[in-house]
This record gives sequence, C-alpha cells and structure tokens, in this order.
Amino acid sequence: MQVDTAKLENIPKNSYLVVHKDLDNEDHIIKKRPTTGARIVADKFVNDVFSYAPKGMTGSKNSNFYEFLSLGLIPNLVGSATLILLSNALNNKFGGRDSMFANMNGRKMAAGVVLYAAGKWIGNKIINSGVKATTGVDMEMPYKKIVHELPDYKGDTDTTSVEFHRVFESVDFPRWDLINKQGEHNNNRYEYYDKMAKKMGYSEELNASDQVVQPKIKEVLVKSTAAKSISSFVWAALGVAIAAQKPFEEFMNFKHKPTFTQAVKELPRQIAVTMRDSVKSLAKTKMGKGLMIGAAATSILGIWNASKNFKAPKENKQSTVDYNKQYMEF
Amino acid sequence: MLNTTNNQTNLTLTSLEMQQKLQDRRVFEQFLNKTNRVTCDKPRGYLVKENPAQMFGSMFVDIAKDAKNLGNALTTGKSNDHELGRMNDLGMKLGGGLIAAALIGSKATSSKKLMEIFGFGTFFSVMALWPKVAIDLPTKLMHGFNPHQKYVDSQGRKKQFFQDNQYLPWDVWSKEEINKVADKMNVPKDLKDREEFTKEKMRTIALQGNTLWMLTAGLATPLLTSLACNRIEEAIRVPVANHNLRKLSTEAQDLSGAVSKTLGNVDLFKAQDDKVASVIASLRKGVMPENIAETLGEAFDISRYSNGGAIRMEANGLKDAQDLISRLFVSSGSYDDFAKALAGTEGDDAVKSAKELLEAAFKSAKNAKADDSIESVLGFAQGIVQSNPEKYTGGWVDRIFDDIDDFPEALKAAAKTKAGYTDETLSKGADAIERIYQDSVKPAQATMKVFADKLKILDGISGEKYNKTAARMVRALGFSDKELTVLRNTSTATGETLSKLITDKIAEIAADDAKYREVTKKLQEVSDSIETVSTKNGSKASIKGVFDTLADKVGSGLRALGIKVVDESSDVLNGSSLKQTLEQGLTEQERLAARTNITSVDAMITKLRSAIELERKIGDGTLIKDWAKFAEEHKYKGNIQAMTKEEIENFYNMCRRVAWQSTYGDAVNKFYSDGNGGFFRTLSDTIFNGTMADGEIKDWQLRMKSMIDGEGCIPYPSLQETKAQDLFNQLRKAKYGEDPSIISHLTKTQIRELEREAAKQAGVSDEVFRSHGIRFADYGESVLNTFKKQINQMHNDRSWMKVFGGITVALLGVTFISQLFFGKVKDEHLYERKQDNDTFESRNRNVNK
Repeated sequence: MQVDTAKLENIPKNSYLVVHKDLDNEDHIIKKRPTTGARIVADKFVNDVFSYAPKGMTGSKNSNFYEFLSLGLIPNLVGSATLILLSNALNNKFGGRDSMFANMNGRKMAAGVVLYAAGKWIGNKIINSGVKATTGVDMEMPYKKIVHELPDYKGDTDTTSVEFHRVFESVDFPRWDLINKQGEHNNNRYEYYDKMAKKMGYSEELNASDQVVQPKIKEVLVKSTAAKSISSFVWAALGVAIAAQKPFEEFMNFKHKPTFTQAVKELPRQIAVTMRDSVKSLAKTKMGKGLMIGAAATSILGIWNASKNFKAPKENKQSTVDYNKQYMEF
Repeated sequence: MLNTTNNQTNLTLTSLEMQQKLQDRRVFEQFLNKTNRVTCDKPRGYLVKENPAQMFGSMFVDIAKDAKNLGNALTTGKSNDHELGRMNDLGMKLGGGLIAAALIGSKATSSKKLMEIFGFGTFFSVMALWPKVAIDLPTKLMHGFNPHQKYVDSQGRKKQFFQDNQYLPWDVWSKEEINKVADKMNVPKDLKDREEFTKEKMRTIALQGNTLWMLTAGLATPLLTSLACNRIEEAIRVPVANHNLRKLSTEAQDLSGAVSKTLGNVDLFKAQDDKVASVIASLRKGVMPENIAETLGEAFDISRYSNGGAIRMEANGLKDAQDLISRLFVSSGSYDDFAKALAGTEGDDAVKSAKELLEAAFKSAKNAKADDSIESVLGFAQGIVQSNPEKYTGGWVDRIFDDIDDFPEALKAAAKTKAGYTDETLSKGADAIERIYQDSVKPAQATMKVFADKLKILDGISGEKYNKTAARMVRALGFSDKELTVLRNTSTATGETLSKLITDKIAEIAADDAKYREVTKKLQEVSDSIETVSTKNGSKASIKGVFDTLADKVGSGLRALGIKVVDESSDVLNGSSLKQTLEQGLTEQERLAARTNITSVDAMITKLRSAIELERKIGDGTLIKDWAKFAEEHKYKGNIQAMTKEEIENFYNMCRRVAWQSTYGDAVNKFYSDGNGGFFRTLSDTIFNGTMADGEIKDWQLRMKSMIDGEGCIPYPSLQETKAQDLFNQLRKAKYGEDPSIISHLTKTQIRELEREAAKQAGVSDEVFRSHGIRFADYGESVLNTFKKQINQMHNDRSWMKVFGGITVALLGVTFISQLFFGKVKDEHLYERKQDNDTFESRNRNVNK
C-alpha cells in the first residue's frame, strides 16, 4: 500500500503505519460488503472440515479458542440435517398413507428447523442494524486476524493462519488498536472517535475523543449483546411457531410434485402467501400474539435501551477531560 | 542498603548543595519506607469438585446468577465477556420454553402437548448429557481426569479448564493431582518432567475430546432425543388418556356450567344472532322479509355446532324454519279465496296469475302507504295491468275491474285481512320466533356444542387407547416377529393372502383349547385394562360409561328446554324435527352412531373375539347346525346338507367375510343390494347367535342385528312411530302384502322406491331412511384392515428403529473407540529420563542457596 510520506510528519513515531507498511501481514479491519458475512461463514466451514477438526483431533498445540468456537458450526449444521433426515429419510419406504403422514410431520419438522435459524438470524440482525442506525456502532465490523503459529514439524513454513473476528466481539478488549490503525491510514488516528463523538452530539471537536467515546461504545455493546441473547431466541421461537401453523403444513405437502420451472416460478409467491397466512393464523391464538408482540418488543426495547444513554449530555457538549490533572508515569 | 547510588555522590558539591541532596535523600528514603510495595495478589482460583447433586443445585444457582447479570447488563451497561456468553445460554433456555409453549397450543391431544415439553426437555438433557457420557466418562475411566473440568478463577468466574487450548492456568492444579492423573495414565515415574509431560498429555486428550464432541454432538443430540422421545411417548400415552378420562367423567356429571359458558360466547353466535335479529326487526316494522325461511333456517340448525359431525343429528334447521313460518303465519296469507272466486272457472293458471297480481298490487299499496281496502288494492292492480297488458290476459282481468260491486261483501272483507299479514300477526310471529330462538334453539345449540366438544376429547382418549390396543391385540394372537414380517410383505401385495394368513392363525388358536383360553384371557385383559380406569373416589370410569353419562345429560338437557311459545301458537312446530329432538333428547340411533364411533376400542376386540368364536363353530360343526336351524326358522330354502365340500368351504369364507374380514355395514349393503336380504338374515343369525354368551358380544350383535331388522331400509326406532315409518309400512303392505317371505326378499331398488314415496307423503327428506346405513358403513373397521395398518405400523417402527438405532449404536462405537487413540504426545521421545541420582528432592533443591 502506498503511504503519503508528506503526511508522515503528523503521525506519532510509534505508529503502526511506520512500523508495518504492509497491512496484509497484520491484523486489519476489512471492508464490509453484503456477502462478507456469508463468505466468513463459508471460510469457517471449510476450515472446520479441512483444518480445525483435523488439528483438534490430533491435539495440535496451535488449536485455539477461535477454532473451537468455529467448530460449533458443525453440530448446528449436522444437527439440523439430522433432525430433517430423522423424520424424512425413511418415509418413502413406509408406503401409502403412512408415508404421507410421516412426510407431513417430517416436512413440518424441516420447516421448523429452517425457520428457527431464520428467526434467530433476524432477531440478531434487527438489533444489530437498529443499534447501528441509532448510534453508529457497527457490532459486526469484521477484521482479519493473522495468527502466527508454532511450526508443527522441523522446517514447517506454513505457520500463519487467517481468522475472521469482529472488532467488537469482546467487550473486555475491543480492538481499539485496529480502529486507530485504520484512522492512521487516513491520517487521523482519532477519525473514528471524532465521527462517533459527532454522532453523539458533541458539536465541537474533542481533544481526546477516544476517552469519551470508548466507554460509551462499551456500554452499547454490553446492552445490545444482552438484549440479543433474549430477543434472538424469542424470534427463533416465533419462527418455529409459524412453521407449526396449518398453512405451512399445507404448503410443505403439495400433492403433486412440481416441475423445476414451476417450482422456480411459483415458489417465491407461494412462500410469501404461506408466510402471510401462517402469520395470520398464528395471530389468532393468544400464544401467537404474545410471541409476535414479544419478538417486536424485545427488539425495539433492546435497541432503545442500548442507544438511550449514548447521546452527549445536553448542557456541556465539550470534552470532560480535565487537562490540568497530571498523569503519573510508572 | 542503598549503597550503590550513595557512592556516586559528587564530592565537589558545595555544602549547601550537599544539604539539599541530603534533604532529597531523606525524602526519598521516607518515601521508600512508607510506600507499600505493589505485588501480585495470590491467585485464588480453584478446581470445582461437585457431586451430581451439587451440580444439579449449582445449575439453578447459575441460572439465577445469569438472570441477575442480565438485568445488570441491561440497566447499567456494565458486564464482561464471560457473563455475556452465559446470557446466551439463558436465552436459549428461554427460547426453548417458548417453543414448547407455542407448540402446545397447536396439538390436539394432551399427550402430544406433554410431548412438546418432554421433547424440549429431552433435547436439552441429551445435549448436556452426551459429552458427559460419551466423552467425559470414558476419559475419566481411561485417563483419570475430566476434560470438562471446571474451575473458578481469581475473579470468581466459573469456567471450563480445557476450554481454550492455549490458555490453561495450570496453577489451579496441585502437583499431587497431576501426579495422580499421571499414575492413571501410566506415565513412567522416572521421567524428568513428569508433571509437564502429563499436562501436555492432558491438554492433548482434552482438545481431542472437545473436537470429538463438536463432531458428534450434531448427530447424537437429535438421534438420542428422538429415540428417547419415542419411548417416552409410548409410556405416557395411556396414563395421559386415563387422566383425561377421569377428568371427563367428573365433568360429565354436570354440563350446565359448560353450557352457560358456551351460551355466553358472543362471537360464536354472533352471525346467527344477527340474522334472527334482522328478521325480527323487519317483522316488527310490518314487513315480511324475503327468504325468511332460508335466513332462519341456518340459525335454527341445532346440529350446526356439533363440530364436523362428531354427532350427526336428524334435526333440519331449514325444515324447522319452514314449519315454523307456515304455522305462525297460517291465518294470514294471500288473496287465495278472492283469486279463486275471480278466476276459478278459467283454470289453475288463471287463479295463480290473479293471486300474483293482487299481491303485487297490495305490496304497491302498502309501499305507497295507501288504504289497504280491496277497492284501493284493485286500483293499484289496474295500474299494474296497464303497464304490462301482455302479462295479464284472460276474462278475469276485465271482470275484476268491472264486477267489483258484484262480489259478496264477506269476501271483500276477508280479502282485506288476508291481503298479506296484518301487523298484529307479524308482531306475534316475531315474538314467537324470538322466544323459540332464545329459549329453545340457542340453548340446544350450546348443549350440542358442549356435547360435541366433550365427544372430541373422548374420541381423542379412545384414539390413544386404540393405538395401544391394536398393537397389543396383534401381539395377543401370538404373531412372532418373523410372521409379522411375512404378513407385512404380503399385505401390500394382496389382501387375500393376508386374510388367509390371519385366518390360519385364528383357526389355529380356535382349534387348540389351551391356546383359545389363553388368547381369550389375554384379549379380555387388554379390554379391561384399556377400557376402564379407577377414579379418585374409588369408582370406575370407562369410555362407554362416560359417553352414556354425557349422552344422558345432553338428552335430559335438551328435553328440559322444550318449546315455549306465545298462547295460541302453543301447538306451533308440532311434529317438527326441532320439537321432536327437544322432546326426545337424543335418539337411540344418534347415540348408537356416536357411541359406535367413540367406543371402537372394545368393538375391535369384540370383533376379533367373534372371529375366533366363528372358527370354533366351524371347527366343531356348530355352524352348519345353526344354519339348518335358522334356515328353518326363516323359511329360507337353503339346504346345506346337499352342498359339496367346496361349496361348504365357500360358505365358511362368506361367514368370515361378514364376521370380521369386511365391515358389517359393507356386508349388509352388499347382500341387500344384491337382493339377498333373506339369505343374509339367516346367515347373520347363524354367525352371531348360538354359542356366544358374552354380554359385550351380545351388545354388539344387537347393533348389527338392528340393521337387519329394518330389512335393509335400516331401522330408525325414533321414527318408527312417526309418519314416515308408518307410511312406509302402509305402502309396502299395499304393494307387496304382509308375507315375510316376500317382504324380506325385496330388492334395494324396490325398498328405495317405497322410502321415497313414504318420505314424500310425510313431507320429510328421504334421508331419514338412508342415513344410518351409511353411518354403520362409515364406522367400524374390519379386523383385516386393523391388522394391515397395525402390522405396517409395527414394521415401520421397527425399520425406523433399525436404521436410526443402528446409526446411534455406530456413533457410540466410533466415539468410544476413537478415544482409545487419544493422548499420544508427539515429542514423547524428547522427554528425558531421570538419572539414578536425580531424585525428586534433589531436583527441587534450591540451587541458589
């Protein structure tokens, strides 16, 4: 990457930029595109199968916590597939009516599994994007982590591996350093914090915006993560409840197998109609109403709670850092 | 102390400078002496050692802690990664509970509802238990430590020790504990770094265990959950059904609460309430609503809330409404007499036309709020005729306008009152309709709704028990697994092969006295255990008993309603189906039909038992004797003595078909439609009379026989005294006489003809003759069908179990066996052995001393 040397004077001497010119060898924030999330999951899955699981099974020293967590994808995928197979795989062998009834339950189970996952994803997504819209904190901001491993054998040259993390995945240790580093590329280490401070409502540029912004971001992270841990599961439950409705049962049990082109043409509309009818039929039950209201309420309250304390105090929108105080150096 | 810096004091300083330096040094010394040293706290972490009871207890403590932390995080925004991670688990539990609660609402029977909770509980239990049983336990046994060992860190956070392969705070383990593990692992005692080597081995094993857990959990959790749930569902089905039966038997004692609650359900009755209200409002305004019968018909349908035919009633709302209207408004009507006097000589069509004209004119007069005297009406009629001269032709048209004065005054006066409905009639009618609707029809509907709801529950109970019975019934006959497989494989091919196999089995049982007694006893046991449960107060409750109580209560409830109408209309609705239903409560036929449906459990067993009885009768020759006896009695000219062996075998097969291979209703329909009613009557008595003394079987025979006694037209005891049945008998007598040998041989077509005619004359639908034949054919299942279904079910269960049980066993095997290869440390050869003089003490001697 090209560095504008004219700007270098302004950069502190121990800046990352001076030491590490090539970002690809170091941890760095990556640009988020619509497909980034899917690509990261795909990367994790491929690595699970071809790298993390073999490393774990051989007891490698280089196996780390990230790999263990990534392996969690496997029971989720395999478990969902097993649930679907359990109630579907043998049904054609049963013959006649039994086969039909078994299929009915099986397909419903499958719809339940899919909508559980979809519900959970939506629940998380709503709070993430709601919080991003109200506070500007992007909890999903991804970064690429370059891990330097111990050699597995003498002369092992393949000692780096790439991991995908989120800058704010830890509330104890958010990767402020990466945010700083990104700012330095744009010649302002405090770029992100200044932006956030503005978003918070500080009209003037602060002297130490990071000192003001960082604790606020932490607070947002804690509150929204806590809210997500409840809200996403309420959404998941709502998904399962929708899949259990009669329209879905009917949708999943088409009498004649459609041709491929028919399916492609009809499916999106069918799904939309089925979803609408299912939601309508669910709304007729007390429990259904409760779930819908619960899902919406946990999301909205979660976003509101996370962002309510984010704004700068109204009276004094200037830095609260006291420059007369001195710091003791140890 | 402090000598090094001290020695560097510059001697060239002035005394003042010296003093200053000294002062500085004093200050510095003071600072040094008075300041506490900054040191690390002693680590306070420790390994968690809990027994299962403590673990169970701390699960709840942890949940409470998580909930508290969650509240704290949401309000203050202060938390840490550890707590936030645990909150996710809390959310998962909450979500699981919500799913169970949501699904409970969508299932019909309560054992299904219970299974939602069990299913949810089992899923989470299996998820938690799988690593404990499949990984932790073998590791503990083989290597002496738990790879999911928990520890509490210095900040008091409970964590898993081996969670992060690259962060293992070994100082929470004591040397002794490590050495104990080393002993278990057979680590050589003379290894120089025995503890380090053991730790490395432990790390490796734990990491491998964790990875194996992740790889297997996805398969194991759903597999074990569904295997466990299958067992649990089987186990809870009958207890739940029994519980429901007990509850229902208490509820059946008094339905008044439930009925009034249903009556209070505004939404339920809203549509029909509105319809009735609109009719009444219109009548009160002096206008006879159009389509009044159709509008009221729906609202007057007593069986409309009987939930998809749980009980089908003969009451007919439309007919009742028509009856009611024709009787309520009988004194009022039309210009019948006037039209007849006017156009009588010109034929019916002219009378009809004249009547139409006069009524139209009356309507116009009424609409124009004009005088409703005949003169005034005729004035309007003139206008109508002039506007459409082609429509009204004939001599009478001129006559009405010319000869008005010639008509008798009495007729003219009568014409005035009959010119439609007087306001008084309409208002009285409105009162009657309102009263009948509110006091009789609506409460009757509510009662029927309650009945249908309870029957639905009872049906569910019966269904649960039936499922259980059918399997036990098949088992009671002593089919081996091998035979079942043969049966299953043939059942899809041809029903004939299957029935032959089952017939052989039944014949085998019937032929052997010991076996016969054993099977009969077993079937009786099945019947007893399934049919009856003990209630809390020590009495017995049975499906049949509860049904009868319900039917009695509903019947008496309906009878108590009666029809109350205003004074002179007291005989209104006389003979209508509404009145009849309310007076009779439930007809025998309705009860019987509903009961046959509900109590299919015992009917199933009874059928099977009568199948065995039949084989016994065939075996000892009683069947032939009985046939001779009944053929004589019914004057049926079938001489079985003259039959060939083959013919006799065919006859036996026919008996089997009637007795158990098809449904009785099918047999009845078939024989009568073939015109073999007389033969069938004899055949039926031969099969079902005679040796069988069992009360249950008798009861069942009665049901079957009652259909034959109607000679194919299907009896209808409740209507026997009614017009339709009387007319039917009269018509039959007129056409075919009274000789039983003739009338019992009528074809189905001949009978239907009579039925239709009788129904027409009685003014009722001919369905009254037909319905029960259809009902009996609908209900009940042939033994053959039950076997087919049951054998299929058993086969499916077993093949499911074979595949998924097999996968589970294989998974367990792979999980256990792979652990045998865990814990191999790569650099094992690099660990040095101790020299002879290298003892534990010498190695740990402090070399700095």
